[in-house]
Amino acid sequence: MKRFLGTLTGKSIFLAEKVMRYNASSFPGKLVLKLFPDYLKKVEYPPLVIMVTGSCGKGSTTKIIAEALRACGKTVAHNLEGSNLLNGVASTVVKNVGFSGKMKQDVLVLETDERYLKFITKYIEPDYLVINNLTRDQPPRQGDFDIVFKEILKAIPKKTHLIVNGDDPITRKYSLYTDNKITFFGIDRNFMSYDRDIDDVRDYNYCPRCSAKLEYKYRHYGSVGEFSCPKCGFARKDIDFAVTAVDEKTGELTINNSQKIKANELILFNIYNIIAAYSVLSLCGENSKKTVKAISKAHIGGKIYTEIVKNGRKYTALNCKAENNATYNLSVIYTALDKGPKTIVLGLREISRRYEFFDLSWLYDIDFELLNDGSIENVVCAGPYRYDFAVRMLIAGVPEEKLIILDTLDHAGEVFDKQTKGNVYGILNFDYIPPFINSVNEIKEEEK
Amino acid sequence: MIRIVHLYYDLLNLYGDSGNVKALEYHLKSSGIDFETVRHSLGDKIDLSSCDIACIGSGTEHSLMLALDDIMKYKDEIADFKARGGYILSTGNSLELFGKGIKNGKKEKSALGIFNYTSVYGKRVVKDVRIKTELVEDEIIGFENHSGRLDVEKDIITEDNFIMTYIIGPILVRNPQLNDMIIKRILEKHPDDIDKYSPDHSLEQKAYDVFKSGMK
Repeated sequence: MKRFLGTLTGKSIFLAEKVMRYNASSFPGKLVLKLFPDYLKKVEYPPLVIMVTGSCGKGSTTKIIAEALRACGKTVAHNLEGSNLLNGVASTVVKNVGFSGKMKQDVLVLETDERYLKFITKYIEPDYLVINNLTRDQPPRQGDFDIVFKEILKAIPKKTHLIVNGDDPITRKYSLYTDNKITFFGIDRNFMSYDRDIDDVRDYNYCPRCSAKLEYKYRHYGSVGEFSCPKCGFARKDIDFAVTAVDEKTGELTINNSQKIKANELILFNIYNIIAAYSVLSLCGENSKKTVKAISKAHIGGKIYTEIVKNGRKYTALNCKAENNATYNLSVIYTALDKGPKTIVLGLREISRRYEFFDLSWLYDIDFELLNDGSIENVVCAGPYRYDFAVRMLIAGVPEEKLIILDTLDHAGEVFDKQTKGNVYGILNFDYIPPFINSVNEIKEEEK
Repeated sequence: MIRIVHLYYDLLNLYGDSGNVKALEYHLKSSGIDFETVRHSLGDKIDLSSCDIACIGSGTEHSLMLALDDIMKYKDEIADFKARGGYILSTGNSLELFGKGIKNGKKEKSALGIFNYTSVYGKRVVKDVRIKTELVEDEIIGFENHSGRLDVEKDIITEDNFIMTYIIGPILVRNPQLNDMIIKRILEKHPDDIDKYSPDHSLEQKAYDVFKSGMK
């Protein structure tokens, strides 16, 4: 009875929200759980439940999985990006459940917040849990990656099959701490891999099992790459689903030397998302041509990068997250692949939407020094933190005369067009992507 | 030749603490003053004999314990360094290494005992800091994020030339006066270099001023 009332309550709220054209994705779930705390225990879930967690890209990976399953004719219930705490998950359940208390979809796919996972798996046991990555991310809220590692560990049900990034010592560490079935995905050396030693930016320099210093054949970002412990043998090996080749020109990925998938964006995070999604889909028996095509076409919403050409110059907006050095470092690595003259644009409006703290320490976990190869023509630093970015770039070795400091990035198109040179890379917090793109769109095309 | 030692550079590196070494290097380099940075970590032989300043930063709880086991071998050397007037800048939870001990639940470990405080683990402290100190005229700004608490109520503890603070990361970047004061004091021991020192802190000062005026 409670289950029925819970469903009724939740669905009524959804209906009311629809009538009032109001959209608060987690509110119906919040109310249902308030009135019926055990509601989620009483629902009958689909025969296949997949969850994705980690610091970055869990929303994108979830979307790829859901869209590919739909393309193969499955019915899928899946939570909207951001509704990844318990209330959001409850909303998704309420929205998709029938009055009988049964979810009739074939699959439930959930993006889950890494620190709320333990509250969610208390009620819903996933068949597969994908752990994308664990990086420095919102430390005032999350603490450090070791804390998040332990929070996730507590949340893993015994029967859940884990699918983790095998290139990362932190996620691979789950194999040391659980007896769960575990599948590793990874990316082999490719044109984005690098050899440079930047010890201080890495999360794990020492073996999580025996504390010896890890050795690397190549790196992808942070601690991620082909690592091995010279003492105990803990290493990146036995990758079940590996991207064995990346074609720089066509964007085609080769998986396990045979399957080809087209990546819509050639940036490592995106490729890790794709291989994570492919791994779980394959394990579910969904690796047909249709699946592969759907993965290639998956619309992941928030793009990692956007390119616009104006007056013969390429403008690239790279979407990063403040307080998350991995997203910035990947953008820096991506930018550094262009050896030609270039301009960098840096800035952000708010460090966090969730809290009012002014922690800037993460700026020094970003390897901006990698950009200082003599190819920088200008650096535009904009917004409330313009001087902090300017100082960071001075320290990275960019001469002061190359810095352009702006109060805001709004209407900065003319500055880009007239005062800077080369291709322009906006390495920006997500809240500065729209003003960057608007500014670029405002640039007047010169007549040829 | 100024000598900077970066302690546990690849282990205690959680919150941009390397920014302090970079800030010192930047101003020495732009003044044309010769310097050398030596990086030491687990298992290396830590040598402070000709060191002017050592910097040490934040780590995860696990990393801090690895550093603790290692640094205990250098207890006498660090005490000597302090008595000689050497500088140590310890940011974030690394200051716990220099106290009497670290208590984490039932686990208790002895630390270097250079300072008289003990740290006790509990609920995490997360806060912006603005404090008046005897070190410099301006308030010192920064951010704290740590699980340990000291049994003394102070955001920055100094004794001789050892500066211990729970403020994480690039405190010398964000507080140009502090950076300037430390470099000037170090240069007193290097008379040949004093006249070369010509720092330009204008951008750091602007960042500091914007922060103090409420981020506009």
